[in-house]
Amino acid sequence: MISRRRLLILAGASAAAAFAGVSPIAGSPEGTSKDPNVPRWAMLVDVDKCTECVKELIKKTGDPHVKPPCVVACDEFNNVPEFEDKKKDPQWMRIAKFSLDKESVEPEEFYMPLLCNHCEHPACAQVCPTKATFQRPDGIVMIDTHRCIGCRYCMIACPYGARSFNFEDPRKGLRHINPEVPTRSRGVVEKCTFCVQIVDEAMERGEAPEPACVKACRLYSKNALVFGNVKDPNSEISKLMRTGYVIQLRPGVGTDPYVFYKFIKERP
Amino acid sequence: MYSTKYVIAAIIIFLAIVTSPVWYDMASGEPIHPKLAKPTGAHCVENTEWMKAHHMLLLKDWRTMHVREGKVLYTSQTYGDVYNASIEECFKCHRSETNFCEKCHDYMGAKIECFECHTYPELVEEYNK
Repeated sequence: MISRRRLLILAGASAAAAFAGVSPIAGSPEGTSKDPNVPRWAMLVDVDKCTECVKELIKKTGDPHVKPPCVVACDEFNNVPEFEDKKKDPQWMRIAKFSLDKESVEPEEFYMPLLCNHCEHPACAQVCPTKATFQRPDGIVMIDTHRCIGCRYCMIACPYGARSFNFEDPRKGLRHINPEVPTRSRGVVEKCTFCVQIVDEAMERGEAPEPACVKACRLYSKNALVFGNVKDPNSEISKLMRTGYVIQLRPGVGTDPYVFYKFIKERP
Repeated sequence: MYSTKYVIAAIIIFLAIVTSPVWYDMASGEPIHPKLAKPTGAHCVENTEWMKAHHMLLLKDWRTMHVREGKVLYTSQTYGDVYNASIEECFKCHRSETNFCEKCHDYMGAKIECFECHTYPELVEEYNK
């Protein structure tokens, strides 16, 4: 029989533990590395250059859903399949059209790429019941598809809609396979990885990594995408971020995304 | 003993039926163990006998190392040389999945799930024709 005194102590202790946030279930994510030698990868999108490129392409092809070089390169490198049924079509990077309802401020519509934001506090990693989604010390949010059970909690948690579910075997929608990246199987979630294979390989050789989309944008388009280490104040991305007007997507949700969008002039 | 003739005949027929798979295998001339494609290269990552029995232990280790800890290189404990911790590394010597992995696993009745996602040389060739 438990004594009244002991019961009160136990009840008080568990209440205190719950208040302090010590929970056996939640398990706080480890977060990115504080070590200054470990990079923190981020991407900067120059929205004005991006808009220019997409508008030119649409004018040239007449197709409002045309894929610019960055998306094509991403699909090629990461074996992202293409399906007729757009509801089942996984997308790692897509181009979205925006227009402000205040025409006096910005009459033109603009285009930006949407991809995984590799947040500092990724909501997807926090809700994953198998810890398949996790954050690497260099900030890349990755999915360990060996562990993914396809519950799609992460897709609900992600405020950016960056994740896609494989409703079909992706190999059915592929015409070309890049052997460097595994294809996914039916029933797992996938998303942009900042081309983690390229990043790891470049780090091994001591070079600056350049994901497939960034490379394609530099070679075939307007050089609107910049990838780099934001911890290093002398890197290209850090220098560019000090110019112009840089925003994050949906900063209010507290995920602290690391894909930044740069405008030349300030837009409200 | 009654009807000895019939009993002995029945026993012989019974034994013949029971052992028929063995006779069939012998008569067909096919080797009982599957003939696997010969790998190139001097030796496997670890001791060959150990690899035959426990290759999945090594692959699981590599998986954790590479995906979760971000370590790309693995040093062999038997030979001391360095390997890329990836299933792609296997295909540098074992060029064929269908004539190596699949053949043995078919014979053993163990299902491989690796290649639902991971690519292998034959698949890549088929797609990139």
